[in-house]
Amino acid sequence: MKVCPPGGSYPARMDAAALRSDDSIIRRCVAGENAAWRDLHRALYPLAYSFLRKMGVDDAEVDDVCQEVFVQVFRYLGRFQQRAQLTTWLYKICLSQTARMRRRHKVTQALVRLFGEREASAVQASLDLPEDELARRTGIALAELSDAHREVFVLYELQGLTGEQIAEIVGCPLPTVWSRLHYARLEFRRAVEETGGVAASAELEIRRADVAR
Amino acid sequence: MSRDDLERRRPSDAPPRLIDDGGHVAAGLRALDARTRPDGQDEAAAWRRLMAPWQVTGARRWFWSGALVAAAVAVVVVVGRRPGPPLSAGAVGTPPATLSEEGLAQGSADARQRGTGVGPAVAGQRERRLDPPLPRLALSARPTSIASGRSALADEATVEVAEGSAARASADQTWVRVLLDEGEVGLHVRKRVPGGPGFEVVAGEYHFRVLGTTFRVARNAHDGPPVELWVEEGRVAVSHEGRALGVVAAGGHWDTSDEARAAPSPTSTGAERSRPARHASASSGAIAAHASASSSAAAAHASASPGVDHGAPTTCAGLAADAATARDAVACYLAVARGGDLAAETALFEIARLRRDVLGDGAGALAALQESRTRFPAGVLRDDVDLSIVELLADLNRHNEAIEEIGRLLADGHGVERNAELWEMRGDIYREVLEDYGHAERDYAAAEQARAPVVGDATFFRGVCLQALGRNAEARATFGRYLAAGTARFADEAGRRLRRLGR
Repeated sequence: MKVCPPGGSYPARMDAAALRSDDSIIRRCVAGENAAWRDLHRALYPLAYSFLRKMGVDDAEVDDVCQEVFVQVFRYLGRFQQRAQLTTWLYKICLSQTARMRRRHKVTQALVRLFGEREASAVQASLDLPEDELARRTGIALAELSDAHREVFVLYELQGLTGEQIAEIVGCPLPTVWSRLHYARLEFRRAVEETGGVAASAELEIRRADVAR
Repeated sequence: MSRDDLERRRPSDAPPRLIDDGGHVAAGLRALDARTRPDGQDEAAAWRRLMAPWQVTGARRWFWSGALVAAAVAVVVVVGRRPGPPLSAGAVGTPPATLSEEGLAQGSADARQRGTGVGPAVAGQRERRLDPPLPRLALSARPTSIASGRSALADEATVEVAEGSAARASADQTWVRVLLDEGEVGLHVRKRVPGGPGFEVVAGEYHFRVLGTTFRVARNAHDGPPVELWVEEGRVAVSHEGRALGVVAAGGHWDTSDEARAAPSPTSTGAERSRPARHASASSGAIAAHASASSSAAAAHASASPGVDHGAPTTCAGLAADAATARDAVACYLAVARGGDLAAETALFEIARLRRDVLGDGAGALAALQESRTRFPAGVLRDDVDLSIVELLADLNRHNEAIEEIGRLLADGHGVERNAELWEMRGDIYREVLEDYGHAERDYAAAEQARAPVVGDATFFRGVCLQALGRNAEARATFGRYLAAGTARFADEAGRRLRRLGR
């Protein structure tokens, strides 16, 4: 009788995409298998992290929010009934945690207004690479969208989900998803233009060529 | 496009994604997408943070701060509303003669007022936490008389001796014992820890061994079976003259008539033979044992586990065979593991196996293995124990400890035939978790050399590390050697990497 299997090798990493569609991983996690939790975290962390960033969680906070997301996942995975995909459930948790973060920000801002001006944080644009600047401006434009529009926009345009999946995650009918996406796109384009999108784009093309040289 | 048009759109009418366009908006979205992806280090760091709850950050910091403040306020309020008299002597462990029906009724009314179903003893226990410190009995191997009333024993246990009862206590490195000569005692005992002394109540020749549960033992002087056991929480292992009788589950009952049937007493639930109302006392997290005894009886260790068929002969191995009774099996093996022979060593290992593979309790499994190594440093299972400890440390994400442990084992030169396995395990940790390809490559090389001429996974992973280190020529040679073995598990991946390196 051995606890350690013959050959005792450390389990190879599971493919993230395969893991996301693997029901057995949930059963193993619920059964308390540590290795399964590790695999689950490896598979889902990149998804949660990048989604949270796109939803406007800034660099300084994303680690904390992501941690809260996985605390929720670990706590409630036993109740996950697998009627939806695991990733759909993860997106829902991410959205709820993002909303909590925004509420905290509102409270903070209210306190700042009450008790005095906070030192304005200097926004330092990264000018090392044109793509960094482009990403920053796109992020600013995304932040201009309302919460409901940004959720649909990010899930569709950046996370590549279908309308049906988005409807399930945000909890609205499919036609509403299309409607929100339409108006989100209008808002986003307008915001991009306001952040100097077209002019910046041309300027960035020149700088990209410079960097390439 | 009007809102109606939008809302009439079918799923198949999904618009093309902006990110697939060629314009500057798409470029911005692609740039944002690329900049918001974590790298592998981020994930590993996040996992370590998640598994280290003491590193309180962000929202959790606020949560715990709030919880601490709330707890402090609650303490102040509770202390301010200090309850009146301490628990009366009769509340716990009172002999049946002094526990009147009126008292029971009052106790039940108290419990109802609190919205719980517990009896007067438990209600009393809640208040007792704020009582002043009890007199502590100095125990030795020689039994010492215990005065009537409540006293503290070694190991945080408290004993309450009813009026007119006679009891003694003793303690050594192996056992803390309460010897009940006459009457009834109530006991509250902390859960046993691995490696610590056991706790038992000796009522004549009957022994009731605490394994981390709540149970009561009663001696019926005039009617009913001579000795009875009711298990309220957890499990109690029953044995007689060193022979394990079985395990009784929560809600179960055992008495000496069961023993006469040569079977472990466990009744599956309390419904069949519900315990008398006067014995309704239990507190979560503590062990309450009421033992009353006469001077004679046969030796029996009681340990209970739920769900065991009444009358069926039960062994530890039998319980371990079914996942549903794995916890009972662990309790059963714990009793066996108190010895100093091969059976005890095997029992500890079996406890580790059950905890890890069936109960998902890696930390508990590790504790059992470490205890085994401490108690049986030259045991026959020592090599397996060492390897299993390393494996468990890795499973528990205690990677640095796993690496140190492997280093110690390799330095010992103990079990040289396992060295290749150890090198490979450490290489896996370096590569997969710490992403330290330099150290990983060295370990895989050592494993490869130790196993030569056999070529195995270590060769493939060595190639992966060499490739990650940019040592492409060596990586090519390694993958080539791996593929030449012909039975390679990762042949497809090795071929793909070889082709990429060849370009």
